[in-house]
Amino acid sequence: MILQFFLRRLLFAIPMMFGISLVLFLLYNIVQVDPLVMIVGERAMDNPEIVAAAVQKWGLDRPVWEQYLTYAGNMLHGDFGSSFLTKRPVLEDLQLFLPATLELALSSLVFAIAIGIPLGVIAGVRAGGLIDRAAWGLSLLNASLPPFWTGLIFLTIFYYFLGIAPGPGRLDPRMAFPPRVTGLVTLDAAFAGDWAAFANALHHLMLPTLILGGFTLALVLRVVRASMIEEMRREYVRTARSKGLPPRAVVVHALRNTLIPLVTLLGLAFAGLLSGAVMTETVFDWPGLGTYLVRAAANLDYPAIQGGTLLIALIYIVTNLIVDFLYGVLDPRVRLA
Amino acid sequence: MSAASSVGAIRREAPLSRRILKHLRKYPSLWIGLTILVAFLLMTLFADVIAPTDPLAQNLRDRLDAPSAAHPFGADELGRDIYSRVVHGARISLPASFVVVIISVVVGVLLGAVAGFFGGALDAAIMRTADVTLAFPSVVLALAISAFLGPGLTNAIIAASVVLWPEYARLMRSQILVVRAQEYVVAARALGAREASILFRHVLPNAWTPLIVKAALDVGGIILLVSALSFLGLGVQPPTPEWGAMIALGRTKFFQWWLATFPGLAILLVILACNLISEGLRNWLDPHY
Amino acid sequence: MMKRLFAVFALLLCLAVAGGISAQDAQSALIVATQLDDVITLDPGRAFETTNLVVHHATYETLLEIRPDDLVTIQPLLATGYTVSEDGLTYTFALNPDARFASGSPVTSEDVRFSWTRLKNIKGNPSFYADAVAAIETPDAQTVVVTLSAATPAFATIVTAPAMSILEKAVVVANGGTDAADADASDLANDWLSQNSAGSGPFVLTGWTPETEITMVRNDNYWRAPAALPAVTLRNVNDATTALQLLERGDVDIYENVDKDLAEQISANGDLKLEMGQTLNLTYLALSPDAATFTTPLSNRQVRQAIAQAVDYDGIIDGLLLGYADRPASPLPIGVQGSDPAQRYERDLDAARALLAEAGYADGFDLTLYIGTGAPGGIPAETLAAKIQADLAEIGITLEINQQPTSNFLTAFRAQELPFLFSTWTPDYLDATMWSDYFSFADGGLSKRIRMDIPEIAAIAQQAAAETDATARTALYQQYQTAHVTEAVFVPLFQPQLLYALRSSVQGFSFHPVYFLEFYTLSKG
Repeated sequence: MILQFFLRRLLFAIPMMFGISLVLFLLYNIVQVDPLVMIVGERAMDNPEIVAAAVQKWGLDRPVWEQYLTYAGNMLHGDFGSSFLTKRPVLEDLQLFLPATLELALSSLVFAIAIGIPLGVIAGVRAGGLIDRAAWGLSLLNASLPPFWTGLIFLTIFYYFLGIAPGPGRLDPRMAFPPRVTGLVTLDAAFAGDWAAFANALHHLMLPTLILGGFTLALVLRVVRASMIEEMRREYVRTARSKGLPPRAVVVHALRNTLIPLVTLLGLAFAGLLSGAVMTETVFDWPGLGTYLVRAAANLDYPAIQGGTLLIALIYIVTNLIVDFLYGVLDPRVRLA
Repeated sequence: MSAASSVGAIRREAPLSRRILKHLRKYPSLWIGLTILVAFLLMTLFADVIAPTDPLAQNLRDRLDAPSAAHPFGADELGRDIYSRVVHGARISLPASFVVVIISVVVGVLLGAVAGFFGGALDAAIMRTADVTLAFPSVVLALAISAFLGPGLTNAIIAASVVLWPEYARLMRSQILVVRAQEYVVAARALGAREASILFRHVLPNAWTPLIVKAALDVGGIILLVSALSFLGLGVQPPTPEWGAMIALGRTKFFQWWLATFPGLAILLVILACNLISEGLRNWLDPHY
Repeated sequence: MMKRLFAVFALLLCLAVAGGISAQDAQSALIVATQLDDVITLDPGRAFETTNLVVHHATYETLLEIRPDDLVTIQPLLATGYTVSEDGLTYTFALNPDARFASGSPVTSEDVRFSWTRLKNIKGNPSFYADAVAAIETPDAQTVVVTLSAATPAFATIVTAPAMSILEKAVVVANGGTDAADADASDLANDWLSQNSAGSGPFVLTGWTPETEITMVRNDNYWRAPAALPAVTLRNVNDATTALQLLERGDVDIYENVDKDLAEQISANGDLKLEMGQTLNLTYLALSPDAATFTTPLSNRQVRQAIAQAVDYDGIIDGLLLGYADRPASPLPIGVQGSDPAQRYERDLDAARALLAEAGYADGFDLTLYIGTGAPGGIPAETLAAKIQADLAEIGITLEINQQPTSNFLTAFRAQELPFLFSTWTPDYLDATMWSDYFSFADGGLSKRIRMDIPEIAAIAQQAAAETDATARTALYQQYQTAHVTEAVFVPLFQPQLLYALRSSVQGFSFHPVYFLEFYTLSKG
């Protein structure tokens, strides 16, 4: 039954992906961008042989609909074409850039959960208290901060003026990168036993995580707080408290009930983190999907824009799928329909 | 509910100033937000009075000057007054995001209404398009669209509107489906009322609360989106004083921190105001929240 | 559970902070802080970006070379010399019998034939360097005879370009390379050549991690005196503040392309020194003289001259570039044959207004300035455009700025759609034709894109390109400059200087306008 559920949802995702790719393709062709200059370089444009070879290689001489059909057909085989700019297959590029984004998104998620749940519990148990109000203000501020600006300000203060945070990038330029296994520098450094690089990579994650994770933190806090308040009002909690049950047990119980909305939220948040990464990465020179997409956009590198956007959309769809699935597991009342 | 309304009934006789004060105490976030936003709106109206220096006037002798009496927010690479550019920048960012929200609300409400009301293939077509659009994270889609359309404020507005409309369409459609099923609408139809008049008489009044709360929230989000596009070089054309574009020019210059700080503060304040208003509106219009 | 989570988090935080403090031993390798995000391949047959040039100059060699200290004289390198046939169509190179690749094998005429044929047949972005080459013969292992399709006096200079580097055929072929006619599809050496080198240069490429670093070690088999540096690493550092901090701490030895606002701070630091590289790059304003397609007042020569006298050049160079730039009079940069800055336009608003009035535009007019993205000479394009907008406003010209992504801008420029713009021209090799071929003719180059059809300029350019006598050629290029100044179609804005910050222990700095840094002559005290 689970398999059926997954298959059905995946089948729904496929036309969605094609829809997305078609939208982008149509946009691209409405605007009539000529990618030739970018492909062969400005100087070689005067050489008809080079230009002809490029036109043929990239299929630019074929009618628009044929170009799309070829693209869509290749997509079925997992071939997303090659970037005009890097000349590498987009999929290869994405493999190169995705881990940096994943690392940042995951660390932001961990940060948001690690800080958001305890804060949410406290705020919920003592609703209206000092911590509750502080948390409310913080989450409001967080939701209002433009991440590309906050990143700059944090770098200016903590890096440039105070010198307690490292500069942009994933690792100090004087450090050697650990051998690439997962592409997540912290993990790779740990695998290699290179603890100096591990610590340095973690240090570099600090500021971008604070900024990217801040928004998710605010969401987690709100949800946990709301369910705590609700839980505290319940009969059994009042009974338990009156019977002298330690508050710890109450919190654990309440937390268990928070799990369902929290899972939904984290699924959404993860997708949000990916798009938030676009802005955060630009400021922190973080070589992830965001940096890749922004560069592709600035150069009208159509296959790269298409591939990068599709990947993010795919992650988005799959995350939602997993969330729905977990929802079913956590709450037996929800049938996997 | 009944207690609250009886309280309201007693207070109805109180003078206006007291009532406002009371309201203010009850929904502080709404009022603080409105105050900030009104301040910014006044700034757009009276920019020339508040900041008489021409935001485009260059003076290379003041290049990258730190904040001082002459330039309270410092000067940029061309010696332009950043204070004046921030104040005049409100004339770009605020109207732009209002326009985006208006376009999105109009388009979204119309399409959502059509989808909800007629159903069938039209509904499917509209809502699948909305689904596809919503499958993208908004920044990513806006980035892709404005990359293809090219830089310019109009294109940034189009890109942001494309990203935003589906949410209103969904909201509207669900409202319609709920209202349609309600007995009085069924009754009205049975009595021979025309579908369109049902729509406007019964559905819209019910839908406008969530629409307005959402629109208030979205104004902030759109300011962020448009300034983000400008920050990435896909927004306004130079030398327009736009906040995101100003931050971009300060990007590599930590040592001249004032380049990015002040336009960013302006964005922060406006978004904060919108979030406060939206939060306050929600509390006010929907006491169950 | 919560406590444990907190404990783990606190531990991670401590580790993170500690990581920022831990230092690393100084190494004897030279480390350069630069920007590597333009690198897409390191295959000399395919690369046509900027960073690849410095790498190719270190790891490969060309038959002839032009040294940084004398940009006019062509000197022998892998070839001991060359002769040119009378019709200028046949070049015969005699290879140096001592020349060896890093593998120890001698450099032979077959390697030359292979390298140049491969470059041509790959039909990649740098393939145009071999455009003139019609046939290559190898009568013996030490002799290369090149037949050109048309007389190209600049060919010897073209041979010095890094793209014309000689690769070891056996190594390239063993790694999938080919010079076959269908090499654009059948050559598979790109990946290998992006991580390794197959050249005879003083260094050997040992790796490239995109966006991160490029590593090279000394070629111990080098056929001349080995380099002083045991290894060179190029590190990607995008942020100026970080680059300077690294340099101050001694984590890097050279910081390339210094932010001009940091120059003063560097000069004041006793551990560092500031070096300047005068580029031959030219940022120019282009004003189309065309009246058939464009309907701008720019077709009037007096209007163009008025604009040339309205721009505040000193403001741009002293104010925005902090003085780190020069300015030639015509498209020929200072340092190129026949270029003389004395003839250049200076700002004279009264003269400009008088010219406009004479042309019938006393009240000015509206005009659009088209620009791409990027930062010529380190000034963001939008900032430079805003400056020009303000300058022209003083003579009544209302400028609208239209900024597009560079690829869009270039496409429109190439399609002859833009009457007024600024852009930057960078040389691929150091012959005056690198400029006169592109700024002169109605049917090619930048002059074609701007729809310039001025027979006088075209005629001088043609004559100068074919002139083999150096003195006569210089005289022709002087005429060429004068004609350009009068027409004011291409008005130079500046010729930027590149700044390098070095640890004072680094000796032997030199700058070359095509490949920039040379590691061979550098040493670390």
